[in-house]
Amino acid sequence: MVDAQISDRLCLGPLGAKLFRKDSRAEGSQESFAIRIFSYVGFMLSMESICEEEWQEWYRMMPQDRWLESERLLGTFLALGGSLDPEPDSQSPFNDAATWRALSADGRPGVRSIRRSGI
Amino acid sequence: MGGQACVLYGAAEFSRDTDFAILAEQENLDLLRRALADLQAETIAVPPFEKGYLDRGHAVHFRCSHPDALGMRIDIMARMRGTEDFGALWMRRTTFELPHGLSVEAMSLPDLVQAKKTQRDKDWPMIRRLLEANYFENRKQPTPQRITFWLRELRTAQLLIETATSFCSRARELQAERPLLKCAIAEAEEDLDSALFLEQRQEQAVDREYWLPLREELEALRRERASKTGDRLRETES
Repeated sequence: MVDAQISDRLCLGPLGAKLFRKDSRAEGSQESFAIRIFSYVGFMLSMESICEEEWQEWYRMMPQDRWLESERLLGTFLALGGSLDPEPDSQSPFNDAATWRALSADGRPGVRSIRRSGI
Repeated sequence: MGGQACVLYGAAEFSRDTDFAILAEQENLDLLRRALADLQAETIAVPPFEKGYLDRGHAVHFRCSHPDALGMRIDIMARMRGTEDFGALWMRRTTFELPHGLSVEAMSLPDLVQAKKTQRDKDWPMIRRLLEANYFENRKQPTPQRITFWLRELRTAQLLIETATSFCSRARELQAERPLLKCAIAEAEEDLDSALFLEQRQEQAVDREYWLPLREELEALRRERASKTGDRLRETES
């Protein structure tokens, strides 16, 4: 009961409420906000539990490093035969089926698999 | 804005084109026209590069022929559904300092998130990643402004629950604006996942409705172009 009251009044979240007891500090005061931050920071979900390793690395990078890596990835994509033309997207209001057919005679996207493992 | 901005904010690995939000005033369009000429960029598809189309919310598409930007596509828009006018977007922009002394003026994250709320399924994982990247980067410094942004826009159920239960007073205040926060406060993850999906579908429907008259205009332009092409071919043959 006490934990639920604390959780509700101070918005500590369920784990935070178990650690901190209601005291005489006024709700909305700097102290109660600090308690909320402390409990929130102390019990955060890990990035690993939310997203794949590839995206974890990407999220951790600085924007400038992502920009450089993005240039490299685009270069690799183009070197492998990728096209700068958009994939046909029937959901896009800009999609023009006639234009897509004119750009790609066989109707297939610019990147094709050259070698497959059999799967 | 678009894919390149998503790269900078951490939601995309690369983008094949570059999207710009522009101020559609004649003087600015003239400057843009000169810059596009430097890139040897020509319009592709419809509509033509005219102020009226931009004012109505259309995107104009270009492809560059300059050797240093060969094949690069550029899309420009002056109005995006749900966003404020260019002046307001410009005031809130983020400036990214890049290598080699360059800098990029990118749409602010909240504005980019709003601009990405389209009818296309592929834009929604991008929105989710924009929020995840921002959340993981800043969650140890949860300012009131960030807390409000996360509660309004997070699309990852577990993270939304974490934020809503940790700041439930604010979450309750925002519930009228975003009813699914009720599920987040209650830590009902399954219900929240369903509610997030429904929220996405509703927003996609609103975007489709917004684009109906614009799509009709595009179709009319395509028919007119096809008709002119047909006339030219017949003249050549005869």
